[in-house]
Amino acid sequence: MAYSEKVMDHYENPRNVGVLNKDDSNVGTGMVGAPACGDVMRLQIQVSDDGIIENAVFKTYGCGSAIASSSLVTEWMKGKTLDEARQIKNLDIAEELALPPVKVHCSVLAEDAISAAVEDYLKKQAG
Amino acid sequence: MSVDLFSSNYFEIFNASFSYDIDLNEMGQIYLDLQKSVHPDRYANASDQEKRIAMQQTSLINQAFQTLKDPVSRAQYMLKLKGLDMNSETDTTMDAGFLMEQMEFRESIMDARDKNDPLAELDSMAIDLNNKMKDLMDAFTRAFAEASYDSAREIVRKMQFIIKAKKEVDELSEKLEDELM
Repeated sequence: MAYSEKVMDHYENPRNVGVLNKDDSNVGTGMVGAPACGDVMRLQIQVSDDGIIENAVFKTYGCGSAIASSSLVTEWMKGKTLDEARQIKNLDIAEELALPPVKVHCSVLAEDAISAAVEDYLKKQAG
Repeated sequence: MSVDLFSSNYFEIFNASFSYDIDLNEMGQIYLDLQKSVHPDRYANASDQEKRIAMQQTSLINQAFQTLKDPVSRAQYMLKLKGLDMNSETDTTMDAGFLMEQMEFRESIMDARDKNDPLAELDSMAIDLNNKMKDLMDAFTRAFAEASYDSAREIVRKMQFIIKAKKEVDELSEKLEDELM
């Protein structure tokens, strides 16, 4: 299958690949996986005291679309509030990357990773 | 043919008990016998309708064997018969510890290349994955027998990651072997 130019761009030059200390209180970690294709995605956010996402990094083992989806959302999340980040929907990702229908589940994975990371952060703050 | 294939589940087609733990050799033999019994050559002089039914039976028997032969699709099929949907692509959250482990495992596959003896490294990973798969298959057998379908479903999801990791190990091994030749 041919990947779109945007997918290729993120795949060849992934943004914000990395890892943050998951034990830091201002870091939220989201781990998600897609059994159907065996993809695993880790998305981490670092949140400032006033609730802004200062940094977002990811590591994804999966196909080009999964890597591109997670790479794209790290770019989108930076500078956003947690609520704004949670507004990012899989269809926005799929549209931006021109994902074909069979690859839309990769964008679902990225959306779920955002929720998981935000929830992890909020849980830490509450606890 | 003694049973009506079209109203049987895949296990009944092979006269096997509805259990995850199947004898694949025995089933393979029954599969071959069944295929012979509906082989198109036997229907050379039959009516078009009989030929069509024989064709449908052939493809049903194939489908049934392919499904039951594979440990993941067999488990998924069994859960489907119990009314559980297994094809949910949007179902992405699961045991975070397990996913973390998968992540680390994939990282170590990538790192294997730089080891002194990458092939030995990959071999031991493959053994490790095979053992994990066996454990999951045993766990599925138990969970299903106890009618704990939700945990059985979670086990199948884990199997899919193990299979994927195994595929990556195998592919890298092949690639490295080619490079060494």
